[in-house]
Order: sequence, then C-alpha cells, then structure tokens
Amino acid sequence: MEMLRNFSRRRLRTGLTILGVAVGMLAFTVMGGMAEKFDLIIEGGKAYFTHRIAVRSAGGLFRLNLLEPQDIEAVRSVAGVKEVETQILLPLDETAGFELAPRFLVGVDMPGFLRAQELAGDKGRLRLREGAWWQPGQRNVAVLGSAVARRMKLGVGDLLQARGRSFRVVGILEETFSVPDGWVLVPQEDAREVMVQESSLLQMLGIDSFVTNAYALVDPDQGDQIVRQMAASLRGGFLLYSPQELTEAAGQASTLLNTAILGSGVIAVIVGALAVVNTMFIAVAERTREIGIKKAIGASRWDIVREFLLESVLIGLLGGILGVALGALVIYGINWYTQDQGTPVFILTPRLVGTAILFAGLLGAAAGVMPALRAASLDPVAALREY
Amino acid sequence: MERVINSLQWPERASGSALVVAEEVTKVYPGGVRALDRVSLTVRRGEILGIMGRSGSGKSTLLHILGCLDRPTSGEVWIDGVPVTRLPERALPALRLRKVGFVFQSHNLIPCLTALENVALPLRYLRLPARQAMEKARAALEAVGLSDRMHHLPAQLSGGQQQRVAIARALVNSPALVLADEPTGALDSQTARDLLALIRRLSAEQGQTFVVVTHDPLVGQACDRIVTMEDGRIRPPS
Repeated sequence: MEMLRNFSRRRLRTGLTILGVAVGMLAFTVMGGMAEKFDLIIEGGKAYFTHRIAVRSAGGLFRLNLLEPQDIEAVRSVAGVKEVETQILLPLDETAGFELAPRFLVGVDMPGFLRAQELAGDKGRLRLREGAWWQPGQRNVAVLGSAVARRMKLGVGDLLQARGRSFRVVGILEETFSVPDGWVLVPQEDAREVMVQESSLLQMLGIDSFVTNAYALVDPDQGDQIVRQMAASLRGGFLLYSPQELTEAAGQASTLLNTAILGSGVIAVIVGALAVVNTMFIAVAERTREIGIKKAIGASRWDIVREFLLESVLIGLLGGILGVALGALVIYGINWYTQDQGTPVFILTPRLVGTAILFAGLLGAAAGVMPALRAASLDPVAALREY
Repeated sequence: MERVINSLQWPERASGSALVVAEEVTKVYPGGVRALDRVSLTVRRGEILGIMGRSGSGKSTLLHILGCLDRPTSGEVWIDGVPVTRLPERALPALRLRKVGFVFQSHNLIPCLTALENVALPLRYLRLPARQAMEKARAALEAVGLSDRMHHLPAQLSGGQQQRVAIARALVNSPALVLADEPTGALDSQTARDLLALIRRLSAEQGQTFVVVTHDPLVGQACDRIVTMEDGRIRPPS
C-alpha cells in the first residue's frame, strides 16, 4: 500500500522506469518467441532423426547424387537396419523465392513409409489431422503439411497445383511447428515423374527407379555402431548421418541460436534494469528524511532494505508484465501479418511468459540491492537533518 | 537482541526512580567540534524534563545520544537499567523500538502513510499481527483526540494535528522514554499550548517520561524540571 502511494507520488518517474523495463522485456519476449520457434523446429528435427540414419549419395551416376535400387538394398542388408524409408525431395515451388517455412514435394513409397512410421517412435511419427493416407497404387494424391494447407487454403478433397501437375488432397498432417509442416507428401512415382519430366539428362539415361534420399530405421542407441558398419560395407560415395550426430548438430545449432537471440534480448533488459537502479537511487535520496525517521522509531537495517527491494522488485514485475503483454501483441501482430506463410514465425509459450516475468522480477531485485543497502546504511542523525 | 540486552547487568545507580542516567557524556565530532563536554544528567521516571539552551548549545546532540541515535565519544548512558553505550551498534534499532519514542520538530510523518499507518509503523517493526497493530494504533490516536482523522494523509492534516499523530506514534509501543526535539517549533502559540497540555495530560495519565528539547519559554513552563545547556555543558542551577 505504502509502495503504491510512493509510486503514485512519483507517477511520471515510476511510469517511465516501468516503461523502460517493459521495452527491454518486449525485446526479450519477441526474441524469446523466435528462439522458441527455432527450438520447436530443432526439437522436431531431433525427434524425427532419433530412429533414423540419413543416407545421401555423394556422386553416383553422372554425379546426380541419386540413390539407386542397389544402393537401397545395400543399406537394407546392414545388420540392425529394420526398414529403409525412401524419399524424393523437391522444392514445391521453384519460383517462390525465400520462404519462412520452405515447402517441399516429398515423394514417398506408401507401404515403406507406413512401416517406417511404426518404427520411428512416438515423437518421430507424422500424424493425420484429417483425411487418410492414400492406398498403394493410387496416383496424383497428396497429404499436406499444416502450413502448406493453411497457406494455400486447401482442405481434403481440393486440388493442389504444383510443378505442373494436380494432386487431389486426401489428408492433412497435424501441426508439428517443424519442417514437415511445409511438406506435401505424394506418391513416389508422381514425384519421380516430375523430376524426369524436367530433366532431359534423366530422360536420356532412361533411369526410372531412383530416389534422392533414404533413411535407415534403427534403434536409437545402435545408431553410431550401425553407421560404422554401413560405412564399411557400402562402396564409397555415401553421406551417412547417425542419429547422435544429427542430434548433437541440432543441439549445437539450437544453443548457438538461442544464445544469440536471447543474448540480444537480455542486453535490452539490462538497459531497463539500469534505469531501475537510477530511479531507486533517486528514491533513496528523496526519502532520506523518511529513512531517518523510520530508523529513529526502530526500523532495523533489514526493514529498510526490504522496503526498497520490494519496491524495485515491483517495478521489475510491473515492467515485466507490461513488456510481455506488449511482446505478445507484437508477436500476434507479426504472426498475423505473415500468416499467408502458413506457419507462425514466433511462438509465445507459457514457459517463455513465465521466464520473462520471473526474470524481470529478479532483475528488479538485483537493481534494488545497491540503493537499498545505501538506504539502510544512512546515518539516522544526518538523515534527520534533511527536510 | 533481547538476550544481549538482558545479559548485561543492571547497574545499581540506574535502579529506583532514575529512568535515564547519563554520566560524563562527551561528544566530539570529526574536525574537533566538542558538542558535549562531560555532561551528567538523570531523568526521573514520570517527569517532564525540559532541556533548554541556544541553538548550538548541544541539546539536540544530547537528545540523540539519549535516544541511541548517536553514540558518545566517551561516557556512559543507562536507559531503564540498560547500559546502552555498551551495546553493539546492531542492538540499537531494537532498543529504540522498545524503549524510546521520538517526536521531532516537523515533518515527523511518512508522507505516503495515513495517520493510522504512521502510528502503526513501530508495531509493524515489532512484527505485531496487522489487526492487533491497527487496534493499538487506533487507541493511540484516540488518546490524542484524532479518532476522526485516522485515514488522512499527513498533507491533509494541520501542523498541530501532525504533531499529535507523531506523539501517538511515539507512545504506541509504550516506550520507557519519549524524546521530543522542539515539538512546538513549527506551531503557532495556541496550537503549541494545546500540544503541551496534551503532553502534560499523557504524562499524568500514563506516567510517561518525556524529555523535551526547546528554546521556547512556553514549553519551559510546562515542564516539571528544566536544565539549561551552554557550550556543550549543563549550566549549574543558579
């Protein structure tokens, strides 16, 4: 109560200080929302690759980097490989330029794809939000990632035009906030035809059973060992990535990104905290006589320290709450503005909101320590001489 | 803190009717200013003692030392049997809280607290439960005749009312000793008379001991006994 009246006594100064903290926390929240989004992408990637060894070709026929049936069989024959999932991965729209959520046409072989889903673990599995997987042998059908469906405003039963063909949408994937949100799953034969149609070299060579990449489904803890066996038994020219390698690389990328992103947010917040330090020192100077009176009537050092600390914590918390609220507005604004990309650019998680407000409170406390100690160490006789 | 205070022995000479005993108290400020020079003084229980003298005579310094706000360079002070000059610095806030009440010349009150909250402040520092503190504060305000101004902020009170709130606050935790530094200094003479009448009444009703520093002869008349200070010493009675 006393604190609130002190605030209202110095409405402009307290308000500006809270605003300073709020601006810092706004930056922190927006940056944090970006970091959370990257985190989800990377977490999704990690989950996807937990049970998968990625196999790519580094060369092969005419250095087209394609995998051929005998390559797939060689991978399948390595001990510990339970299934090989093959893909033909192409950009969905080669003319789209930069995309926040890149869209891909992903040709999959349905029976192998479904078996891989069974083996991929709970988090590494793609689930349908609506519709159904197509039946083996069906052609020109598609299952859309959620971002693609939203961006292109397509639902089950609609026709998707891509790479000069039309596909009937039969299913929509659940949102993952990760890479598969930008996928269009189609029968592998269709994707292969797209590639062959657009490449005179492939037409000339007359090959018609290649894929662009493959995943060997394995037990997560055997990943490294199987990669070593695979490397030994396959002829050269393959790039193999074990689950551990991919997870580690993802972890490093995520740490680096989060440090960079949150670091800039933290700097903004620290600037706000310095304003709190300044305000609190002014408050101590202004209330010197009050402090003297309080000490004269028996306030202990702790009573005085607590009074000023609580005040700066409150400034921090109010700034934090205001900053997070403004940050949420900015995040929803940007997400609304970029919604035609089909995927949110920032994600405001409860974890981020909690961290931001807690952080603001702690920073308020830290900012209050020096002023509070100064107040507590004032000499009461000298303080009482002030009017 | 209580333990520190109780572990020290009661000196014989501070017992009986003497509430405060100051012995050979000297205060030299850095730079060599001798504010107090071997001052000895006894305050009896229940009396209103006036300390008079010109400004600069050392009366405020003496008051601060009696109130444990300041420490003497040499000499000893006992309050209610406690040898306060022998206590460590950190024991003094608790001692002030329990034994001493203060009334200053003006600007006594915390501006952003209501009259009631100002009076309850020492009880808050005593960690009294809020309801109990408010009840006691209310009673103290009633005793100074301000039951209709409890929820006013200091700025909404007149100078005399503010001083009465300060007296209520000084008395709320029943201290052994109330120290007042020019309590009427900022008041007109009629208001000052009313305030002095209040102090006299409280002293008579509650047996409260007051030490009042003043250079106002009006205040002097209201005291049971007067000592006069000059150049840091107590002038012998003429």
